[in-house]
Amino acid sequence: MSPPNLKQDLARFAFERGADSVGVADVAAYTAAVESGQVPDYLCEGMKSIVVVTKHLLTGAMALQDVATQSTNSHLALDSAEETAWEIAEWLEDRGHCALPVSGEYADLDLKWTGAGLLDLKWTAEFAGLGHVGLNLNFLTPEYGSRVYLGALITDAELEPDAPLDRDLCPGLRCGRCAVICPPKAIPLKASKEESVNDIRDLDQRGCSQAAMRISIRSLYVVLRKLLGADVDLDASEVLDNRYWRDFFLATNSKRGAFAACFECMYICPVGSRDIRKIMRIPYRRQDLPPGSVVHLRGDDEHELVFRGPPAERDPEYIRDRDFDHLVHIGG
Amino acid sequence: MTAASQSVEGSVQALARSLALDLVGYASTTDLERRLDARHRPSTLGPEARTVIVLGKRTLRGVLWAKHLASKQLAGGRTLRALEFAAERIAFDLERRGALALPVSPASLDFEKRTPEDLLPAGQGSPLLREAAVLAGLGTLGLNRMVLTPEYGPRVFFAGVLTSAEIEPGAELDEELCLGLEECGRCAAICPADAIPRRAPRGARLTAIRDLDERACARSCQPFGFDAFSEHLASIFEARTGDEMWQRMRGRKSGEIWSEMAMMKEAALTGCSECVQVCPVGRDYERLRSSVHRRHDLPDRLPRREADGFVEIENLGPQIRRRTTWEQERR
Repeated sequence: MSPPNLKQDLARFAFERGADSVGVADVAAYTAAVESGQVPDYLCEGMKSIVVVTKHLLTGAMALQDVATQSTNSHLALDSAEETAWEIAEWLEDRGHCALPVSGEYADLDLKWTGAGLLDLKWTAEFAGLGHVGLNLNFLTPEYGSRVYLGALITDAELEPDAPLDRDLCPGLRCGRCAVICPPKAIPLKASKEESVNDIRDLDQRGCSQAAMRISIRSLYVVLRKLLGADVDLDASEVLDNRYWRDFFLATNSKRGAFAACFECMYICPVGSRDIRKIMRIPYRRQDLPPGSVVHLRGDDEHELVFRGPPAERDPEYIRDRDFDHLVHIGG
Repeated sequence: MTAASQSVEGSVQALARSLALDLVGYASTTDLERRLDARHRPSTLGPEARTVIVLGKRTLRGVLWAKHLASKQLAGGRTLRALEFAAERIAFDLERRGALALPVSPASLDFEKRTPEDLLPAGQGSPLLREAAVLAGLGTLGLNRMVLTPEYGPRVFFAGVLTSAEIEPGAELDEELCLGLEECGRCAAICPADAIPRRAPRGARLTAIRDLDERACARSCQPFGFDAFSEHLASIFEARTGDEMWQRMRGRKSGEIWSEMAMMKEAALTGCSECVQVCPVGRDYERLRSSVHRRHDLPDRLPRREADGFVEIENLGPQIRRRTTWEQERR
């Protein structure tokens, strides 16, 4: 085991560098608990500990009405979490250890053909005692709910692991706010009354990506397939003079709209001792789900929620797969 | 050395330490003008400059230990970004002191005068930066044209600052650090693209044989980079049917290229570090070679042939190759 004060010093350094919280998981124990190939040994054998940090989205940024600009803030928070992980790695190496920062953004096509994270950081963070994976598989912390991003590194330093939280943060369908607002209906809306949030938490990843990664390589495939397969003559100037190409350039250049680009479930998550009251004081945010808009249907055995969707003015942003439909005469 | 020069150097050193840089050196632009090809000379960037400040940042040991290629690639890109940021900070500080200063990015390219191959191998730095590092006494050029340093061998990236401030230049190291093909040849033996000289006349001087097949190196080091992008587009347009075109477009390679453009960014230049990991030069090497993955990279004694006055090392290649390489998809 490393010097007893190493973990304390590391945490102090992490907070100085801007982390909101920091937790440690033991590599062997975590690996034993994970069923996928997303384990530290996939990256580097010989490591002993995983260090995870959280960084919250600026509460001021949650007031934005413009989803695309929110995406920029989201990437700033993610970059900040990754940068803190890097600085901790350098800090550990300055003290004689080895450390490998783990990208939270890279999608590994060898792990899964549609891409998988190197470690599934939400589970890593839950294992390291930083919070709870909620109904929609977002990671929630007590302080900022699901409005956090994660950074991580693995190290050969043997740090004392933290224990997972002894309580759930997400109320599941008893709340259900994320499920009723999710534009592509990617979050569970129904469950048996017997089941807890930990039994039913899930996400239709393909559905979620249509909103959260709507200007990505996937959308390019959709657009090109549509245009190349059109059975009408297309006017080149009409095809090119389209907002899509500007958004695609921007997404490729700055990630805006490409990876983290839908925040509906984050806006309305009621967990968060440090930010949710401030968020709910923002008039625009109060309109997301006005009081009484989450309708629960409780049968003898099942609990179901009535889907509502985001406010109508934001909806078109989430259906970008319909770009160019008017040119190829889809939908009349 | 004047007091003013000492003062500038002192402030650069202090700032570099605070920015977590590992190496700092100084080279005179006059010397560099004489040493470099016309297209790489400092005067092509900033004619007023008198000094090139060379900034070096090492690769984390944990990154060198790792087996996951994309994590290594991402780490290289992040190091280049950190260097770029540090160069800018130092340049601003110099300008506050009255000098002119221009950060020299390790990753930026001017396609009019330079090519992506200039940043090979391993994205360590442009010819200007590498030559400046040698002149500044930070290291010497190895068989594969990388700068090897006494502290970290080639496991270091470089950026720079061109400045009008006159700072006493460093002195070149007296001896070559690279052991050369005959005594070592490990970089050549492991190179996935067989881009480093493996055959040389017995007793040949390092300066006579060091070289790099840049096109080959680029296929490994920039696997989804500039050349791969244009080759991929060409292959899509050459498809004979719409369905074939769609299949090529929808393939994994498009995803990899887009990921490098949108997410990896500078890491598009740091896709291979095999030669870096097996170089025995550097005080960090003993610890590196004992790590789980690195100890199996190459045998201690490399297979070699000696005949007709030549020595030839066998190309063994790395333990792990990219599952989808530029060449594999091309076939």
